[in-house]
Amino acid sequence: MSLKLTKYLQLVRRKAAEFESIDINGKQDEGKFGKYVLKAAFGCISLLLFFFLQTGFSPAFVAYCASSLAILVGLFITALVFGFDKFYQQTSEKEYADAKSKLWDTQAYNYVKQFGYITGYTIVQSIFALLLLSLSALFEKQSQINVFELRYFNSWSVEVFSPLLLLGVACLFSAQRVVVIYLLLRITYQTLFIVASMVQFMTTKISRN
Amino acid sequence: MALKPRLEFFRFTLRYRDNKYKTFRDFSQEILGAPKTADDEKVLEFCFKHFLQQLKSGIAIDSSRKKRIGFEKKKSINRHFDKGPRFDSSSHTIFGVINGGSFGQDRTLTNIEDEEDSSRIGLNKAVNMYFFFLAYVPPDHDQGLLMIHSNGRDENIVPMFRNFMMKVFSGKKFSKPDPEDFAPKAFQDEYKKSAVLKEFVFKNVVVDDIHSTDGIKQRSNAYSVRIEAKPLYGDVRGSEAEGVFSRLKGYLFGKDGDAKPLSEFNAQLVLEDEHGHSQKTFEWNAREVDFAPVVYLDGRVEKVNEDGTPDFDELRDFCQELLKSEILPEMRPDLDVAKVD
Repeated sequence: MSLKLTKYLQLVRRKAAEFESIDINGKQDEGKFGKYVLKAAFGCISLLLFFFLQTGFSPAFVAYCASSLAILVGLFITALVFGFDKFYQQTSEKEYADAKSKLWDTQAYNYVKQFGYITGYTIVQSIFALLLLSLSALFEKQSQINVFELRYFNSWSVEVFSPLLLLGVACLFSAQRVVVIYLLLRITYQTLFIVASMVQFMTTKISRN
Repeated sequence: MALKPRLEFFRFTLRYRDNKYKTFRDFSQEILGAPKTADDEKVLEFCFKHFLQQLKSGIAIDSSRKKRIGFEKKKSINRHFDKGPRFDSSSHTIFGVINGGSFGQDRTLTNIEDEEDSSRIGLNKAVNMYFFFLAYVPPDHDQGLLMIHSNGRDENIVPMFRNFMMKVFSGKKFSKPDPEDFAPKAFQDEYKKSAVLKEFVFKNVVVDDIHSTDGIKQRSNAYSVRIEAKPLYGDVRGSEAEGVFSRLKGYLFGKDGDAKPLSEFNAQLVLEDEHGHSQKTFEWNAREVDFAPVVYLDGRVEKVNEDGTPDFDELRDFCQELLKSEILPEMRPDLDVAKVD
């Protein structure tokens, strides 16, 4: 029996994207900031940093990122497990509540879903970032290839395999650098959102009681 | 006397035995016999029919206030017959123009153009005016709202009609609801902006705390102090009260070395509406708590009937719009949110 991994991953990704543009009242955010501007800005920053990081990530940076991401994954999984229990209790009495309680119930319901999907997706992104960073740890020398010093070799010979392999390696690590930076920016942004919204949700909940 | 049409608002919550939560749908099923499968339309219809029935019953006559309400069914007499009570299930409202007035006074009726044409109004005859009302009775909720139009302090049926509506929504296990004054936040803010600061009152109780042989203690060990601060020249708007208060609260009262600033006193703020019609007193610390200013219809409903009452079609539209845009977002914030799956 195969695990339905792709389906689950796609679902988490789709739902996280959906809940990123929905507020706790269930209203769709029509603004373009979260949907396009932010992603484009992160993309530009990633490309910019890629040009600056000519020899890729240093071993110290890889180690630092790996530890930070591992801690984040651990924290988020714990938050995810306890969050569902603590943030939202569904009881049959909710339908008999007054208008404010009904409002708070709906807001809590939407927030918990938003929190769950975005936290879950951040964990997935962190794991992918860790996997990509592990390439730098596994192939330390090759990963520090300076892609900007490669020159086009205009002759087709029996030794052509070597330059082709070099090109492949260069492309792979170029993509790895851009994607890792992009993922780190996204993870940072989502982490800030999760922490800030969670604090607001919890303090408001205490004030209501 | 010229009429000063105004609108008053009341919120009420259905009261069931043991404080159980019951909606207007439950009320229509348990008291009015609506079927279990009744949709919103049916619930409203049952409530409306019950309202009309009660309008003909004894509770539509208030012997202590000497007032009665009803709906005049003779088209030749009732000038606003076509605007009589009806219901709208989409907005969950019952609304319309009813007739009401006082009785029990020995009065005579005289034609001002022909004094010979006169008669006596018996004690059992009421002189009625036209009044508009709107009741919000949501089938999915336990809290309703009443809007009642009146024509001034004297020409009104407000206390009587409010009491009547509370009786309409009671029976068997449902106790009579307690209506509470209510006014949309927009009107409260508007009132604060336009109202004039009448005075600040600072109150405190001072207890003699020094041992002496002939001190105040011999007569009374405590006395209350009341300090009033009134603007003498020019009007100070209610919205500027904060600035005035922050200046006054630093002033001291008391003996040398033991003086207390007025900020330690209980402060009251008295506002008067711009026309000088009414005064409202607020505890300074609780001034943000809801209060219900009188909402005059002058300027809000443009058209006026021949007798000085507001045009009832325009008033109906005004009330429906007010309910939708101002009151429901405040009273039913849950209607504006949706669970996302």
